[in-house]
Amino acid sequence: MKILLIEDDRETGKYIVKGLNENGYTVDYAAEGKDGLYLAMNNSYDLIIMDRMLPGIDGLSIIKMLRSVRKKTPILILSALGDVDEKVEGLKAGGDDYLTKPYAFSELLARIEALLRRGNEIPEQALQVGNLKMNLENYTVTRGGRKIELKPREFRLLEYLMRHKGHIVTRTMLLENVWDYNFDPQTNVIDVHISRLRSKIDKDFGKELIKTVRGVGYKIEQ
Amino acid sequence: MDIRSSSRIKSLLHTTAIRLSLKYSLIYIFIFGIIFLFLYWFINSFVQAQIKASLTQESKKIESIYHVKGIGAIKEYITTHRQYSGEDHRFYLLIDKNGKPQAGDLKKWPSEIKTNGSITNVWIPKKEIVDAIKDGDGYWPVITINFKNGYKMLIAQGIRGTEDLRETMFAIMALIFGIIVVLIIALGFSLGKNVLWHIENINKAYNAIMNGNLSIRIKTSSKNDEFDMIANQINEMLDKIEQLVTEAKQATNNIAHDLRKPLNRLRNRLEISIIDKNRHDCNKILEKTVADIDDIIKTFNAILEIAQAESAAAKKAWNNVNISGITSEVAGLYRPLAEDKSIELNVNIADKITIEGNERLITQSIGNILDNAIKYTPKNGTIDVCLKENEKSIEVLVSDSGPGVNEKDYSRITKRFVRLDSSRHTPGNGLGLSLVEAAAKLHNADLVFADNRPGLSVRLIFKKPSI
Repeated sequence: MKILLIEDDRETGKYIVKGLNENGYTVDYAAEGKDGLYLAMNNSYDLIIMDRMLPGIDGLSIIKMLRSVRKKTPILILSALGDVDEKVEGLKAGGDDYLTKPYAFSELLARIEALLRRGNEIPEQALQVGNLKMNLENYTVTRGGRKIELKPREFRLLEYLMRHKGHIVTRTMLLENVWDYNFDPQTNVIDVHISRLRSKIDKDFGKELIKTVRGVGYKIEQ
Repeated sequence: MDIRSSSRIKSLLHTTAIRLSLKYSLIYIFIFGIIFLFLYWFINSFVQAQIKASLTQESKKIESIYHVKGIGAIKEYITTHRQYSGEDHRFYLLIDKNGKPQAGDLKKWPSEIKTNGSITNVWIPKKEIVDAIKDGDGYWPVITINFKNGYKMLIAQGIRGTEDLRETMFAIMALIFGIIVVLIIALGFSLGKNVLWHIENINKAYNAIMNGNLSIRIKTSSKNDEFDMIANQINEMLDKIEQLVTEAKQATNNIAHDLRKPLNRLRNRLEISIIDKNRHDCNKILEKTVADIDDIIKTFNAILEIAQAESAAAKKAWNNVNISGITSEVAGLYRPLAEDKSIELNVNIADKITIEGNERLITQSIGNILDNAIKYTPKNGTIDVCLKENEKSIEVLVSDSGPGVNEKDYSRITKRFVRLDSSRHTPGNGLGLSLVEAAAKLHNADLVFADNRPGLSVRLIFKKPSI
């Protein structure tokens, strides 16, 4: 997997490149907008990570330029501007995800994985992890053939986890995508919802499918 | 005159008031001029007609004297009349067949005179008048008489009277013009001075504000004229700006202060771990540090959110918000949390209520209130969440059966980082209700605490716009 990182702070850039390399990604790094634009135009990447505030050409302009020449590479925007409005603006310009600085590297990694997988997602009628099956046509969930009753929100939570099976999803990602909330509740309510879900799909089946990744989030895998 | 006052006069001359008054005085002078010309023409023609009538009458009189008494009587008539001199003195001249003057006030017969019996204006220079009579050069209305014996006679009307009348009229006209101009210019100057006074005050305030002194206001007069009205409006705007700037400054200061504490704690922990000789697991310390920093970031975000809610920027994302939907969703989000503590969560939400506002902040506010309620309500307690509407307001009510809050602390619990002694052991950063308060203020809503006997009831009351 090849990633292009455009980030004007070289220290941060180095740190992200190192982290991504350790996780098996090949990374091209550009510290300036126009270098980044040149690389993005002339190479093929699986993902672009873009700082929003860049000297010279700013991040949003680059995104707009890339989108105008039909470059469909997924773009993750990094920004110190955490306002919801700013976020909406970034996504409107053609960004695929938006992460506010400061962020945890694990959060960045989880979002990169989610974005990379999004490209080759095929519309599925059924999701499966081990013997846990989700039917998206009639909204039923079974494990080992046994039907599990889920509330609508629990269903959406499980669906999100299953769509990202084998990959970490963070609490923020869950809040944003399952609840549409752009803020952190004071208490970690997500943990409680997950434990609810666990009690329904894992409790009586011996093998635990939903796993806690300490300090980061959750992942579902066999 | 020093430069200052001359430049003052110059700027006075540049004021609209002065310019307008000068313009108007010109227009008035023009109009009065036309009126006077008409008046003059009218009086003049009236006088001329009178002169004509009197000359014709006089000529008839003389002709009748001639018929009755002959030329000798006419000579005598002229001679006796010569003695008379006054404003409306008539002049006579009688000449014989050869044109030689026989009697009268003129030295010779004017050459350009017509003798057809009509009245004509004839130029008569002063030097041709016999000395005893005082009158000037001018066109004199003249009538002539041709006698049968070849004698000719002229009667001229003295112009002194009409000249005087004309002069008096011009003098009155000039005086009135002068008074108009002086009055209008004086008015213009006083208006201009008033304008300049106001402008100077605006300038002073402008300069002071540009130099960073936001507390300066524009001085107003007691006249309450249009300038005072504008100045008052600008002053009100400045009040608002000053308030916003002060608030923004305060928010920034608070953020800096608020973060010092957790940063200090973090620093201490790191320092202690450096001097701690027994440290075994470097990774563990680092992990703990990262968790600490995450906490700081969380706090930082919370402070930023409050600051944002306190600023007008949060009004950018102003929408029609389905508060019924929001409240039930938030209740849904927290329900498992309540159930874990065996708290009975009663939700009673009126349908389809909407308000104008910032959806995220309202959601977060209701969430924070509910979060607190669950946190402080003991096991097997009860929490009620209500949304109701009446004619005047829309009210979100969250009441719990927890230990409640002492009435004297109601005003304290919304302050940043304030955590009552009874809640020291629970997790939280003491910013939850601060955000609720900021959001309430932004929405012009009231945040009301009350005793729920037992427990605390929190009401968020959104006022409906009065139609």
